Amino acid sequence: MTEPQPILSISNLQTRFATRYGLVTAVDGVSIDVMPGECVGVVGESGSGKSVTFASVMGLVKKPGWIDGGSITFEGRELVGMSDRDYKSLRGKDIAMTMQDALTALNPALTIGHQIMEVLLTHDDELTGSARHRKRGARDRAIEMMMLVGIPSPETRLNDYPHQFSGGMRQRIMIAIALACRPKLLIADEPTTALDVTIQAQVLELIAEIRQKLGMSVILITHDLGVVAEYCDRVAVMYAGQVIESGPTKLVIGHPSHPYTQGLLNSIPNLANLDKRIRPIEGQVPELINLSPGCRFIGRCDVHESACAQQVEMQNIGQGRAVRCVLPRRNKQ
Amino acid sequence: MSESATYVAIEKVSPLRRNLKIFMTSKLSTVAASFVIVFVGMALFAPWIAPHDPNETDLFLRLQPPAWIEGGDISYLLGCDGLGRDILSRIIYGARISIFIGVAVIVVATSIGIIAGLAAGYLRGWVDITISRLVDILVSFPYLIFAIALIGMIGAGLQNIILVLVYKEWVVPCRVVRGETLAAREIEYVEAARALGGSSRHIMLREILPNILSPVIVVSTIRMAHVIILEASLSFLGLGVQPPTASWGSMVADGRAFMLGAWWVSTFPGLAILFLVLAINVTSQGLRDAFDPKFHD
Amino acid sequence: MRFAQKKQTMSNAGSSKRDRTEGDVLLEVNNLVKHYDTRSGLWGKITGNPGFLVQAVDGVSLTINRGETLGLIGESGCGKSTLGRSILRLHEPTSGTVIFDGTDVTKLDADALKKMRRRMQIVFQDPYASLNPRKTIEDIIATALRLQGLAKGSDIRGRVKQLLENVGLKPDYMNRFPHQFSGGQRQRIGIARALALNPEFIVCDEPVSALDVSIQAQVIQLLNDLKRDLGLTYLFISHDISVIGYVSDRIAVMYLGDIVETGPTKQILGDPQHPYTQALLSAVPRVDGTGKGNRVKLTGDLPSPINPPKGCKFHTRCPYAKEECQLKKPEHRELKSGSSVACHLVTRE
Repeated sequence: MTEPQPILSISNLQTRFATRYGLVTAVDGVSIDVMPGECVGVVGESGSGKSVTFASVMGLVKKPGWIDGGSITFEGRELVGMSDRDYKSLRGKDIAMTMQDALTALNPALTIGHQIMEVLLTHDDELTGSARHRKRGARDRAIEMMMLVGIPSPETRLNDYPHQFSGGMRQRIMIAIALACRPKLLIADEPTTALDVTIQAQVLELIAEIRQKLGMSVILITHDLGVVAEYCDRVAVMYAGQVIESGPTKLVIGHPSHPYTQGLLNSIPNLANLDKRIRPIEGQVPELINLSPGCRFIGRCDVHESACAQQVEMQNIGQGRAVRCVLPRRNKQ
Repeated sequence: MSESATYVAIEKVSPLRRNLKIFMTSKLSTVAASFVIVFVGMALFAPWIAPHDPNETDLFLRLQPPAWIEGGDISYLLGCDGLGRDILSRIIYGARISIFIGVAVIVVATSIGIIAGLAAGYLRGWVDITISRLVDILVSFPYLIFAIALIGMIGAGLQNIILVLVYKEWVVPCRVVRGETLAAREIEYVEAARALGGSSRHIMLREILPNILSPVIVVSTIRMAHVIILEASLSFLGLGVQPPTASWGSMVADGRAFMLGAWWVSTFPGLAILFLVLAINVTSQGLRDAFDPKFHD
Repeated sequence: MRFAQKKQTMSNAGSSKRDRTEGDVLLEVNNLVKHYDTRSGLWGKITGNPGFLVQAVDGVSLTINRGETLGLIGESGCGKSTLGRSILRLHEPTSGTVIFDGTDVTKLDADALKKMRRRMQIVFQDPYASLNPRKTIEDIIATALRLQGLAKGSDIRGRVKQLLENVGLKPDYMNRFPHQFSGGQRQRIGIARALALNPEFIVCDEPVSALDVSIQAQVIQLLNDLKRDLGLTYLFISHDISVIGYVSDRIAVMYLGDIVETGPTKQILGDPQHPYTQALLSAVPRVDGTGKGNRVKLTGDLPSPINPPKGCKFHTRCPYAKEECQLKKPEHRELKSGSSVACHLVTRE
């Protein structure tokens, strides 16, 4: 029996930017695997490299940035170095991405019907026949998608423009566009950060529902550990361009191994236990230029040793977990 | 709890010096700006640079060609006009008129425009309504014709030109400032100043104004070129500075009668106008780019 | 049905103590209304642009005791930021009173208001917009002192240095410009500015919402420490329920310009009475993964404050709405537990 293969495999990815101040290594040796049907959460703060990692996956990194090393395979196919033309047939069809700010991601001058149909007409092989026939088919599918994501009165709202919708609706429209061609992988970049919490719940439920229906894999990029805890099977925690911990969500959040993960969890107020004092992580994320080879969390970590000044690799610590730390420890909460 | 020292301040310079550095990265703009400085130098040091008295006539030198043409003389490099006056010297002294009027009109108009624009944009209400209506009315008159009409009423001459041009010109910076103020007054640092007890005057002058100067400077620079052309036009029509004072515009007018023969009489002052205006325009483009936030971090 | 369950736990809830209300009332807001009215009658009809009426704050009453933090929570468009600013008269209230330490702030003339500003300050949400980009840090903070005439000449420097130290920044940052700092540092500068006048009361308008999670914790801790050391009183506005729960002694929940429920933190979070509060709390994703099962699903979007629903504004999304809810706006009722709720369906004591 063959082992199931990941649908997306990022391996030792390096993405750099040439800026006025020097060479910035935004993504430094990131490896993440996503299995079919799985929901993987990628957690990180500013400067963690989470958005750049997935921009690299989508082939959206342009000058002054470039992919400097590593590999990204999707269903076994290597994406690094792929031509723009090949990427175009992949984007929107097999891999789709939604952005954080729906207002700027949607074209304000085109109706949403147009934007959903555009994806369908570009990619969908099932639409056949004359141009008019295809267009009608695309329109029907667009209405279907809008109903799927819960936009009321889709037939009339097809002709509305993005600004005529609320923030939550726009996010759903982006999801409708992303899912129109039934992609195998959805990358959702901070899908709920700009939304109110009640709308956030609706959007996340929607993604979970659709994921179940289509058997789709989802990558959820977020800074919100609560969202990860509730919706993701596995989680990768990123810091300063590297993955510093990964594993099944329950284990990573319940018993964090890396001091940063732990620090993050300690700095979030816990509604179930408000008397517990939050303990902020001192200091700030380091600049991504001229980084020393050792652990990047060193300036803010309260338990570092001399070994931390050397290059630290990801170590497997069992139960499907890995951590980039010389002192993996069980957290006794 | 103290801040970690790992944060590296990328640049320790003030916004002004940053803009200057960015401006200088464009070779074209720097060259153009140097040109402008040359003209200004010409204007300032005219008495020391000009080879001859610009008003000294010598009928023997009437319509003498430039030095490189047969019949010319190197001491009258660009030739002489219909009254035997040295064109080069007149151009150098003419720079004084053009630049002085350009600068004076712009400085006065911008000052008025800034005050009016700030008041209209920040105080709103009837202040805004009044000023905006005034602006609308003035804008509806065509510039040159309006200027001619006014000069006709109050007479020509240096002071009057400046007056007339300012009268129309202030609406340009006013509109720019008003628009910028309307936007700026909604930003939190303005609210913060109010929360601290800042008066309207403080907010307009100390909080908002420093932040909107960039577009005002760019617009004013562009307008200066415009004003210079207008002054030349008015002088060309005989409505500007009166003879014998040399203005490039009137010099071009003087040479009209000789266009086919002694072409140098009109051409060189015309070229002077062209180069100065071009240099100012390119410089203002450079300034606009230098102030553009896209080029910052 | 949830409501039936609530009635059962009533007796337990009643026994919980009122949380801290030590100290007298510092701030009392009575029926504060802030409407934005761009409707222009005849002119509007001619131009085809009738304008609209935004009922941002629609008759809000609350009290804050000295030394406490009142958390104000709600989603976008609920009017919480407008409320905070109206209390400070940064927006002029349309009607209602704001009594600060016995004085009605809404009736003060310009000079008296300026003096009052020393006692009530604000920290803003956006660290990038709240500092004047053309001024040095020293200038930004010194402006506060100079405007109020609190220090002169060389004293100003010393005071600025001290304020920067109090918020955890190095004094020699004084000569730098805002763009040279990170978001968290800028917030600290904003806090230093707010403290410059030695206020008693600070409106914290989403002070950590624009910051990274780990920096949020730093700033929250700073605010708490300052409150303790300087004896401050806070109105803490946020949409983040975890943060509000952590910092607040009491919580007020806002929806579309109204306060729907107030009460001690533990009470509101543990035993919310208003259906909106219940839905809000159930929507928060929990790190321990416990949130999912109990989600109260709200249908539809937030209505706009331009055209709010009649009667109880929440009735269009409320899972328990009855006919009465569409007709009549509910009044606030004080409950024994120390909470106050505006809902027709809460009939317990």
